[in-house]
Amino acid sequence: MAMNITKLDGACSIRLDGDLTIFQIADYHSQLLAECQDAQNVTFDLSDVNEVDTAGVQLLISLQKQLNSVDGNLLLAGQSEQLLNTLNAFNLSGYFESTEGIS
Amino acid sequence: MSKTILIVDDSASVRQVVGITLRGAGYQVIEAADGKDALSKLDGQKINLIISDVNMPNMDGISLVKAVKVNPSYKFTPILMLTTESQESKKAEGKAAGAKAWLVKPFQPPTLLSAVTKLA
Amino acid sequence: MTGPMDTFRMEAEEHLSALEDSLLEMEQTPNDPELIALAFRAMHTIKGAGGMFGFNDLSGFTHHLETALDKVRSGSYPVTPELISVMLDAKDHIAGMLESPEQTRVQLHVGQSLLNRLHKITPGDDASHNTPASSEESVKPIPKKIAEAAFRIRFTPSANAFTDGFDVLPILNELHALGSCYVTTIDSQVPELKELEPESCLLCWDIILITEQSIDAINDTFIFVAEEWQISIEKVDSNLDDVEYFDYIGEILVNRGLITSTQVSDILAAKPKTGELLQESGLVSRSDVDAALAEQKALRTVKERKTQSAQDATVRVPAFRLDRLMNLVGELVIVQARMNQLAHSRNDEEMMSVSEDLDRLTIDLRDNTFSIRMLPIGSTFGRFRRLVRDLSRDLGKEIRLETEGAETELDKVVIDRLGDPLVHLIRNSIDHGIETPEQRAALGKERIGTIHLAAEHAESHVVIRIQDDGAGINTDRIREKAKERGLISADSQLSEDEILHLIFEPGFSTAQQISDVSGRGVGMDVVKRSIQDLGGQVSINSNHGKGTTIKITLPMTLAIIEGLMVAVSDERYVLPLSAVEECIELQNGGKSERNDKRLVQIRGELVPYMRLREWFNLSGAIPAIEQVVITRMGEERFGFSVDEVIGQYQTVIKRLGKFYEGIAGIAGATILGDGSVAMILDTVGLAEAAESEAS
Repeated sequence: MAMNITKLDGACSIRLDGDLTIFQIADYHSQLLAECQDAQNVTFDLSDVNEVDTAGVQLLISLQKQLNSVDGNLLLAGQSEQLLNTLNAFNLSGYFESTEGIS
Repeated sequence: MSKTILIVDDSASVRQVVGITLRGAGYQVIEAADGKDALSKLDGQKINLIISDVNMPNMDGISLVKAVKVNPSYKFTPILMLTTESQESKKAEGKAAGAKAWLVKPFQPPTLLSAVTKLA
Repeated sequence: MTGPMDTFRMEAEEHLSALEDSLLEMEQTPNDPELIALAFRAMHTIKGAGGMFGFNDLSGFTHHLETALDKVRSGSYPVTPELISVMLDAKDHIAGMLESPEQTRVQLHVGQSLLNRLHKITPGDDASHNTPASSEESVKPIPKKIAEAAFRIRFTPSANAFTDGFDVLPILNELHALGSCYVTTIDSQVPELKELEPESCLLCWDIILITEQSIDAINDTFIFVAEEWQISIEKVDSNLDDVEYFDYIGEILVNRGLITSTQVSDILAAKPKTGELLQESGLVSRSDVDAALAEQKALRTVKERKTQSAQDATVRVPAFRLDRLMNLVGELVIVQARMNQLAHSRNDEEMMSVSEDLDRLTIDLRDNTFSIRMLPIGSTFGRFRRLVRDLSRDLGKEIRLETEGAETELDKVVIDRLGDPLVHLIRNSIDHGIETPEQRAALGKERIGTIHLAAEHAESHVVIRIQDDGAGINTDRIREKAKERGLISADSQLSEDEILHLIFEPGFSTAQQISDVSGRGVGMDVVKRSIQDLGGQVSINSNHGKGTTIKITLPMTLAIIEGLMVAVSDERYVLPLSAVEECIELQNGGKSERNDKRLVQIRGELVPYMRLREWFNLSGAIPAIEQVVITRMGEERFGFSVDEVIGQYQTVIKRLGKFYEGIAGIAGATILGDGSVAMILDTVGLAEAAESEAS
């Protein structure tokens, strides 16, 4: 269970394993703040994320808003089945830009 | 991936019937006989829901809730308290401690499942 | 192994003996809280478990004892010898009750007298005489189903919902399970990352649920959070027949109290797409509009479903009456166009406004009339099922027919005329495509072959695919056959695809021998022609050894055409827009002689074209700059040079009289706004006629 953040030329590339739930959310939030505060483009690999709850979705929404405000972009590179299910239940499957357009 | 539920009750028969009901619905079930036993099962494994009786020897349900709420790995785990209607004051105490969902005993299996699906 | 019931009995007996021990000890040390607690817990457990195993009387009886002991525990009553003796008798009574969930009359009597004795010792306790009733928070069984209704559910979780252990996902899942659920997640309160308190819930939801369940079932979903969350659940309307009323986004937003109707009408004065306008004006947010749109969509669905369930009330009407109605609507559209033109030419404001209203009505009427003619294509699928079954049996093959998109709607006329070509294609798949079970097994394929018949809407077209997992087409054999028959020269360089499409050439059959199934003289060329007559196109794709797919693209209706109007000399023509690929300009192209094959260069490729002026022998000089409309049929392109491209034109096709029917290149006619007639061109037919004349 970890969030790996790599920075390159103002772009952030994040990979997340394990869960994205209320239990980890405060930790991940501060990591994102510390590492991606000035990033304009963030690529978030969520292909191996397990459980995603409402708090997890909310964090992604907030990150998206953050990037929108600097004309940046959030790209979900890979979405696990569990994430897709969660986004579908919220009717947010089109909310984020993603590489895998699982139709 | 099935969800794991911890059932805490000093009555083996209640644990058994709850266990059968939940396993039948596809959940993994861990059993504990009282609050103390339950805390020993909170060893870092993932638990999606705790179902607990209020009245138990060694450590009662309210004390269990308080202990869970300060355990960083489980403080946000939903807790479903099983109560009898004669325990209104306990309920207030339990809610203050952080147990927000209550189910009145006795209950039938479908009622239990319906409650569980709202929480996990 | 012991079942839960045995465990319960054993456990109850243990508790009873623990109760007995503690009661006896209490006689010695009446005020030992440990002993009282022990006795209480014994009763409590027996009561709780008893209720779950159907021992309701036992549960009710122990409830009174438990209540009494609770009072003793809290110091309301002293421990007296009388109390202990009642409790001991009660213990014996409970032991007897454990024998069976059902009680005898004697037992009931004993129980009641015990309770009376208890009540004398611990008076003034109302609850002691009431049997336990479930409290307000008990989860009730889901009530009986009622008629389908739409509910608007809006909820805002408390900020600490997540930390309380409540996730919204299980609730949404439960709502999804209740019926059709249209969820809008409203994120307007979620700030940017740096201002986010990640453990607080800032999202809220707006949901339209269409369900047969009662409002109680929905309320039940929120049972654990009802006190702390903001939840509103309301029935959207009691009468879904009035749904028209909700067809306007603005009204939905007003109903939701998000804006006032004056604000809407002010903005509406500006014009359409209410949602976008309101959003731009900043009165409502994007997610509010989305939520209202979801509601609009949901309500339409309910309405449609209502219509579906009302299908019992269908009326059968002879087809000719429908045709007549179509014709009348067609005339009306034309007259309307004339009136519109007139109003504009006179610059009469009042008349223009009347004409606009009439326009809307006419279009509505037209669309409605067309929809009457539409039938689901699935009505023909049954016939194919039978065909596949019978034929595969005759040929000793095992074939499964899978269908998809049976609900896809097409004009009745198209469906009727589509039957024969489809039968032919399916026959082909069975006869030439799918191998025998033995051959398939040897190839490592599943013994049972599959023919997949699928229909779907794609823009204004319907696409039908017939796909088999058979042998596919051997292009080498087609090449040989084509050379044999002189269809291609011995040294022609054709791509695989071009070779495949040779099977659509007249008089082509690759069957090794004439079986009963195919080889009836109806070749693929006839299939192609029939589809083209319907304004459609056929293409083929085959993978040798893996299977063949035939794709048919059809217009949804024959009665209406999306056309491109062009002018040549004083005449107007309409080309089917579906065939048009692009329009290009051609300068001084008119030098070559009529019989020369004309070619125009488009991005390095040569495309043949014809001059409509010459084809129809029209007067006037060819303009210096000609417009060439490039059309596409399958892989081929063909151009038509005209004087002027007027623009897109939607029109009703009028069939030409018998005398003109069958004239190459003309598909029909339409009457223009000014009363004159424009021919609708059959681009495929024209191109073929031109090609054959040129060669």
